[in-house]
This record gives sequence, C-alpha cells and structure tokens, in this order.
Amino acid sequence: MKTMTKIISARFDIEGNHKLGGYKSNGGYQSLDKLFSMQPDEVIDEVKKSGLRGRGGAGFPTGMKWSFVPKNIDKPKYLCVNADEGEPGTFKDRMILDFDPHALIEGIMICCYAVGIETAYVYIRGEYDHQIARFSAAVGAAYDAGVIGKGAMKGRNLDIVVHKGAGAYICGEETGLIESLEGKKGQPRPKPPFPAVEGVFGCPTVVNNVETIAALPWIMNNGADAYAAIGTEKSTGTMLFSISGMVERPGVYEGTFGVNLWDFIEESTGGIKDGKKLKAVIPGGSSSPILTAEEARNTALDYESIAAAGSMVGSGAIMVLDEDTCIVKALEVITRFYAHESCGQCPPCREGTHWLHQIAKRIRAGKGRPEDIDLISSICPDMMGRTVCVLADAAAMPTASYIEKFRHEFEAFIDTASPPVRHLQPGGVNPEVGRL
Amino acid sequence: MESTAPTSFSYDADNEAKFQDLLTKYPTKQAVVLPALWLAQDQFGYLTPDLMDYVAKRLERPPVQVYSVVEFYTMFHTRPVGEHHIQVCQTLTCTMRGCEDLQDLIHDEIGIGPGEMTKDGKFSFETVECLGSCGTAPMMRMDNRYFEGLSREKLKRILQACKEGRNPADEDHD
Amino acid sequence: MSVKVRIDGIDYEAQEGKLLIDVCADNGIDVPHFCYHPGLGPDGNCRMCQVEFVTARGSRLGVSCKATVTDGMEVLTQSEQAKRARASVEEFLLLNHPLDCPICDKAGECTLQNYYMEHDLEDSRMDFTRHKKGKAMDIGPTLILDQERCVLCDRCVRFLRDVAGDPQLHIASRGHAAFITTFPGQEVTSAYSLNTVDLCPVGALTAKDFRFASANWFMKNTPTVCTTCSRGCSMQLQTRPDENRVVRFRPRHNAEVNGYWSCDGGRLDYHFVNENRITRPFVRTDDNIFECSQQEAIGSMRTALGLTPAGKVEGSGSAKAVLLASATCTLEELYLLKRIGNDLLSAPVFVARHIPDGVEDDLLRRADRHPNVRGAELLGLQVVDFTGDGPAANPVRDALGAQGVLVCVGFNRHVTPGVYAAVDHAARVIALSACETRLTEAADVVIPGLTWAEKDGLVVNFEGHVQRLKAGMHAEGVSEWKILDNFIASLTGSEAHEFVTHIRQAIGSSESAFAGVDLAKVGPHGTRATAQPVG
Repeated sequence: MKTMTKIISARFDIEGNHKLGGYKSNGGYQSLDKLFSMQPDEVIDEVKKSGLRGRGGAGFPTGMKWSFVPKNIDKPKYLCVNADEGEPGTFKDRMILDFDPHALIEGIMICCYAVGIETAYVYIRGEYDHQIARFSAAVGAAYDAGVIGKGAMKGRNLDIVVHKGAGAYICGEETGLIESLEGKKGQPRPKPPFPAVEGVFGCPTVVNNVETIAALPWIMNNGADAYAAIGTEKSTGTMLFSISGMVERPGVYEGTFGVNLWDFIEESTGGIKDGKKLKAVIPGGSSSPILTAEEARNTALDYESIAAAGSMVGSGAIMVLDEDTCIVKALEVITRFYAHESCGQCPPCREGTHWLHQIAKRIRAGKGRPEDIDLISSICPDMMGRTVCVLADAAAMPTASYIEKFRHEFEAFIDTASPPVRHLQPGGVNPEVGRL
Repeated sequence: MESTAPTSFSYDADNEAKFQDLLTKYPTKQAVVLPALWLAQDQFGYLTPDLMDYVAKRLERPPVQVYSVVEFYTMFHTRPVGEHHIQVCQTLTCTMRGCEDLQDLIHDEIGIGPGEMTKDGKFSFETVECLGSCGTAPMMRMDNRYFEGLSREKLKRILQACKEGRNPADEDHD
Repeated sequence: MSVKVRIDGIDYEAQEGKLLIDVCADNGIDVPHFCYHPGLGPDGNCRMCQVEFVTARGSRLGVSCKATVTDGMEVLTQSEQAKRARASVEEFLLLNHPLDCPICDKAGECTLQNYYMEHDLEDSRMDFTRHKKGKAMDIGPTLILDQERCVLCDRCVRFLRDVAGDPQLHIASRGHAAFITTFPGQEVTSAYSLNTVDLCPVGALTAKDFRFASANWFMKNTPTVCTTCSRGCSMQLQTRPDENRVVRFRPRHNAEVNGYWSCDGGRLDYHFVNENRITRPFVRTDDNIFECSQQEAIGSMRTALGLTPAGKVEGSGSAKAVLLASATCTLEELYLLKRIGNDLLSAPVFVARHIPDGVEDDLLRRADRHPNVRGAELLGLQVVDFTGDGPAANPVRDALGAQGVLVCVGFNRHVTPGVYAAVDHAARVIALSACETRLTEAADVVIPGLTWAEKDGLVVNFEGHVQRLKAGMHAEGVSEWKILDNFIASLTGSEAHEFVTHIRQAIGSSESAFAGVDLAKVGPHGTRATAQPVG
C-alpha cells in the first residue's frame, strides 16, 4: 500500500504524548497562534473547505454544522464532544482519549473559538474508566498551564467539563446525549429543532464526535486544501477504522478514503485468520447493512462508494466474518443489542426490536417457522423512517440485509428437522488473540 | 414532592467537596443528577431508594424522576454487587471470538450465571453489550477496568487472583 | 395570520403556527393519536398521528402533532403510506399488550380497541411469550396500575408534572421493558390523580372507585355540573339506568370553566346520592315519626307557618317565619324562596355558605364548598358565612326570635354548627332535604327533595358563569322547585308552573342581574351572567 498520511494516529505510539509536555514537544498546540490570528468565521470557512465530515456515524459536513449556530444570540453556546462510542465494532475514539488527549483539547479550542463557545462538555461513556482518567488528567494539566480556563482563548474563557455516562448506547445519538447531559433519561428529541439552534439547556449546541474534533489541529496547521487533497472529492482526509472479527491482527488503523475496502482490511490486519475464507464484511458498525465477500472486494472505502453498495461508512467499525461465522447467530446478537438499547419512546422501535430478536432467537434455536423469514422482512420497513431517532432504522436496515444476502443460512435452520449445530466459532475461544 | 422516608445517607467529606464543585460546572441542578448519582453509588456500592431520595433532595428534583433515571442506565445498580463485579461483553465481535465460552468458564470456576452473585459476595456477574473493545475480544470489565484479550487460561488466572485476595490486574498479561 | 393548507386534496384556511393535528380536527379530519392531548400538548412518541407530507422533493411520513402549519403545506392523511404507518403502530402496541379486554374497565372506551377497529383489523402475527409486568398494583388512595396495559404514551407523567404540579409518576427503564412507576414506597396522592384515568388511552390506570363497577356500554351519560365547590366544573354523570344509581362522575371539557380537568374531591363526591336518602315525607311529634303523604306534609308545613292547612291565603301567616337555603340550592329554588319570603310570608331569606381552610389551590379547587353562592348574590339574597363554628352574630338565630319557624331548603350536607344553632333555636323546623342529616333528625316536618344528580337546575359559579344541572337519574321524590312552586300556587291561587324552564323565564324577566341572558337556553357549556366576569 502506498504510504499514507497519518493525521489522527500520528502520535499514538509516542511514549509520553498523553502528557502536556510530551504533546508539545511532538508538535502539539502549535495551531493556536494561527488560530487566534484568524477571525472565527474564517476558521469555520477553513473547516468547510477541508471537507471534514462527522466521524461519529452520520458523516455530516462539520463546517456546515458549525455554521448553523446563530451568530447574534443572547444565550451561551455549548460544545458537546461525543465520546459515548457505543456503536458495536467501534473502539477508535478511546485511542485518542488515551494516547492523544491533548489533540482533542486543542481541537476543542479550535471549535470553540470558531463558534464562540466558552463551555465544552466531553461526554465519555461510563465504562471507559481508564480513558476518563487519562483525559481528565490532560484537562487538569491544560488548566494548570493556563492553556484553557479563564481568559485563555484570546480573552474569552474556555471550560472543559468531563461528563461520565452511565451505560446507554442511545446517549451516542446527539439529542439523546443532550438529554442525558441535562440529567434525564437519554431519550432523543424530534428534529427540528436541531441542536445547533436549540440544544443543551435550550442553547445553541454543536455536537461533534471525538475524532472529528481531533482532526482540527492538523487542518489548522496544514491548511484545508492539504486535508482536502487527501482521500476523494467528497470523502476528504482520513479516518480511524476499527477492524475486528476474524482477522489476524484486529486493531485501529487509519485509512485514507478511497482505498479498496478489502485491500485495506487485508493489508492492515493480515487478512482472515487461520487461512479461512472471507464470507462477509460489516463496514460501518452493526447498524450498517452487511456486504458479501464479493461486494467487499469490489467497493472503495469512502462515504459515496459504500453508500452506493447499499451500506454506510458509519463509525468506521469494520467487522470481518469468515466462512464459519454463523449469520443467523450474528442476527440474534445484534437484534438483542438493539432491543436492549432502545430508549422505549416509540412503539415501532421498542416493540419492533424486541420482536425481531424473538424471531431471530427462535430461528437460531431451530424453532423457526417457515414464514418467519418473510415475517422478519416485512417487519423491517415498518421500523424505518417511523420514529423519533434512527435506532429502529439501525436495527431494521442490517436485519433486512442479512436476510436478503444470506437467506440460505436462515432457511437451513428452518428446513432441517434437527437444525445444524453450529457455533459462531468452532472450538471455543481462540487462544491467539490480536492486541491493539 | 417531598419524600417522607428518613434518609441516613449523606456524602462523605470528599464527595461533598466534589458535589459542590459539580454545582459550579452546570447551569442547572438537574444536569448534576448523573454525576451526583455516581458519587453516591461509588460511596455506598449501589443505589437504594434512600440514596436516590438524598440526591433528589440535594438537587431539588422529584424523587420519581431521579428513580426513572437510575432505572434507565445500565451502570447504575439498585441491588448490591459483589466485591468483584464481572461484566462480560456479549455483542457481535465478542461472540464471534468466543465470549460464550468465557461465560461457561465463569460458571465452572465460580459457580454463577449472568445476573447472579456468589453466596460469599465475592463475585457477581452480568453480561453486557458492546464495551468498545472489539479489537481485543473477548473481554470483560471488572473492578473498574477492562481485562482484554481473554483466553480461557488468562481468565482462570484472573479469577484465581481474586479468589486469593491478590490484585487481578497483576494477571492481566498473556 | 391565515395560511392555506391542503389536506387530502382539499384546501383549508388555518391560523399560521397552529398544530397540524388541530387543524385537521377543526375540519373534521380525525387523525388518531395516543400521546397528544389538547390539554397537555404533543409529545411525539407514539407515532400514531403520522401523515404523509408532500413536498417538492418528494413525500415523507411525519407526525402531525409536532408540525405547525405553514402556507402551502400539503399532507395526505389517507394515503397507503399513512394508513400502513398507523396500522403498524397499532400492531406494535398490541404485541405485548395483555388480552385483558373482558375484565378491563376501559373496554368500550379504549383507544387501542377503537383504533384496531378503525385502522388495523389485521390478524395477529404475534408469536412469542408476552413480556410480563405488574398487574393490579395499588399505587395510591385512588389508583390501580396495570403496567402491562400501558402504551407508554407519557400522558399521566406529563399531566401530574405539568398541570397538577405533583410529579409522582414516571416511566422507568427502557425499551419494551419500560414501565410506569411511582418512587419506591411512595404513592400517587395528587388531588387531581383521577384525571390520569381519563387521560390514559387504555386501562393501565384505573380508578379504585370505579374498578369493575360497570361496563361502559351499560352506562347512561348526562352532561351536568359538579356541586362540590364554587368552581362548578362541567361534568359527565354516568349512571346505570337499570339500577338507578351513579357509577361514575368525571369532567367534561369546558374552556371557560375547568378546561379538561376536575379535582378528585368533586369527582368522588357522588356517593351520598346513593346513600341515606329520605324517600317519604314525615312529621315528627314528640320524637315519634309519622310518615305521611306529600299533601299532608305540605298541610303540616302550612300549619306550622301559621297558615290554614289548605287554600288561598291573604297576607302572611301568623308565625315568625325565617327561610334558610343552602348555597347548594339551584337558581330556581333560590328565586322561588325569595318570592315566598319577600312577597308571601314577609320572611327574611338567608343563604348559608361555608369556606373551610386548606382546600383552595391554583388549579381548580375553591375553598367555597357551594356551587351557587354567586347565584344567591345575583338574586340579591343575603349570604351568611357559616364557616367553622361561626358566625358569632348569627343573623338567622336572631331573626327567629323566641317563637320562630325555620324553613330549611337544600341541606343534604354541611349542617354546620352555626346552622344547627339556628335549627336548635327555632320553635318549629321544616326541612326540604334529600338526605338524612342532624337537621332532618331535629325537624318537625320533613319533605324529601332531590340531589343534584336527579334535578334540572341552574347554578352560577364564582366567576358568574351560569351552568345547567341535568337530571341523570330517575327521581323518587319531587324536585324542590316544584314543591316550592306548588306551595306558592296554593297560597296565591295562581297556576303552578309545569316546567322548570318557566321558572327560568320568570327569573330572566324579573331579575336585573340576568337581563340579557336567556336562562331557558343555557347550553351544556353554560354562559356568562354578566358581560364581565365577576371576581
């Protein structure tokens, strides 16, 4: 593979980079002089020009989102950094919190300066004990050094508050996050109004993923054009891809948009472990429709190409399934996940996810009825575009794709009198497990 | 609405200082509910109605609203957990890489299944959804840290350390 | 500002900014909904009110409860997409809903049932064990909760929190396992708790007072007014005609009086109608009671008042008569008493009220425990405050003097110490009462009257709003207005009136406070007595 520019992960392996002194000596906080010499609007334009898109899952153009915040408004504005990282298959934001926390702080400064924000809440999922500690320490060091705090931003204040989540995937949805931050259940709000206009505490709010914010220092240092020159026309730059599943070396790998999906997986991770054959790839977290092996080999890794293939880049969580991975079991697992995580507001979601899981479980246990496969397929459309947020869609879309592309596996569980006894992975736990 | 039950819980000095600091970090008292609940749970171990009522009173919230928040989030416990509370991830990659085998091992080694606690209170166990550690699957969270890349052998060593009163983190190596 | 909205191909005028679901309702288009309620506003969670929005870029489904109308908005409420969305929401709600219909109070007035019939009618595809939650849970003095039936519309939560100011219920947990609950160990004690039963679109919240009392289709509904305080909430009286008893009493919507709500106190204040009733007239002589006919009782009454037992009379009677009405009496009853006192017997007329402490609130409840004090004031009658042990100077007692004859009308309850002091002081007491009280135990002549549930009459609330009581039950006895009217007729020799409407017309033509109000045509929502609301 051609040498790629490391933007986000450049400093991950440098020892001591998580400390303020270390970060500075690795080129950290160098964007600030340039930042403070620009007008806030110019910064927004720069981010727009870079083509940076949200790296949390929706892929929304970041500069455009910032520009929706009303300028002349007599209310404080807020930044919420989404570190809830709950999409199954995703484990990349934790790397930033862990190994490059000051890059996130520097990115927060850039965003807050551009939009006129003085308080940023970093909402970190509660299970990330170590990352919360690491990032909190970095924030403390930044306060102590006067990098953030009172008057730190060209006379304006910047406060960063680390907010710990308490275990709910739906708090990764931007309005679910806002509700949770406000001290309530994380039940998403209808949009409009959008958070940029009316977000947390009734005030204009930018909600951005950790990685999105962490990309900002490089863009400031090297310019929007340099960022836009990497990747493809509409999918500029790079992204951290969490690659897991049946590969030799699972891990977080930074990839340039536009490379071939399977080539990227194979070159990064060493391909399928134990010489097995590829069966399928889930490209963007469990909420993304599944791709067959052939589709994975013939699709480029960028927002448009993956969408054209019927799936999505999402959170960049790539899960690789080999010939022995049971698709029916996979459906049982992900439907259980969505049923567990549904906030419960909307009937199509809370009842639909539960129903899908009951049927998938039944099929997997060999108790499926012939009509169950079509039943699943008919429930899915009733869950799409019918709810306050897209969790129902996140359950229904992949489900429909599993049935559509691997129907024969489901049929095999139903047709045989004694269903095939298939474990997801034969032989129990594999003793050799890849490390990050 | 005022609660009529007397509460005997209150923050210790450390947590009281943290609580006061929290009040300065958010523009509404309601926004302090989750951080305040964390302080209470970390101090006492789990959230009883008394504790929830205490937090509600401190933040001038209706007690039933605080209760509904506690019931919504999976990390808040309303029943006691063991000295070592094991949370095994059971979502997609972890299932592909053998988490169900680990669950069986836990049952064999310490005799409990998901949702149960050992009689001596040393271990409790639950299965949870994606912990964001798919690259090192299968894995678990226990004692407020992740134990990743768990083979049968490694998990056995970790559990053994717990049983013997040693620090399980010492066994967190291949 | 007026905007044009196209619904199902037809253009309608609407006020800009109004909710689409309301604009549809205004034009007779019923969009089904669970979580929305005009008294609570929208929540947007049930998804039942989805309609198809047609735009230049194509069409998409959206909820009509959250959309405000804009000029040129176009929606389809009956498209295949909209219909399917509705039917599927109904299907999802029925998945885990228990088959409780045969024993559920809500059957016959259940939104889930009704919508199934109107919008679904598909066979069930449900095929797994239903999720179990709490059944028949006692959550407070007034309510029973069946968590399994709940559709999680959040109406009860929002009502208690935002309208009643008593946040005592909430939805806990998440997903399909979410449930309505109180705080552990606490109850729903709100004085407005029973509104949640009306609001609940299914039978999840039921009233202890009504549980299993009657199937909805056996009940007769009568629009009437609550008489427990001076607010006079518009109510619906529900009776069992086959048993001639009240089974439920709940609010009707009246934008000018009570909105959509009523308090629990008024709602539950119907039991006395079915209890301790006096059914036959009687006279008391030396502690012995002799039942008699209506005619005989009237005769005894006239004798006590110093009049001949029958026939026309010139001048007032020889006795010192004092007339005391409860402020629960209707306008017609008070008017006739006024005529008797002023024109026939030269007797002073007093109206008794009492205003206990600690009842009034910012929502509906008034401390004044009578529905018609304002009516008495507008008729120019003297209202006496008998709160507590008072008044210190008891004008009724004083008016009676040594040998006074007291005529009490309408005291079915509230025989306060002050009232009783007057009763005790009188030489003779005549009572027109529907219920046994210590008044009827002391009276010399008792003629049974009717409770509010059995009579037609007008009452005027504290703001001057005139409303109609309407009889919802068959009456054993004779209405007080007829007894008084016959009494007047017998004394004057004129014709008795046949219908209560005639009395209303008489009031309208002779009482200046009611000039300009057609009392004979007061509709189910009432009307103002004067141009401005009276404070």
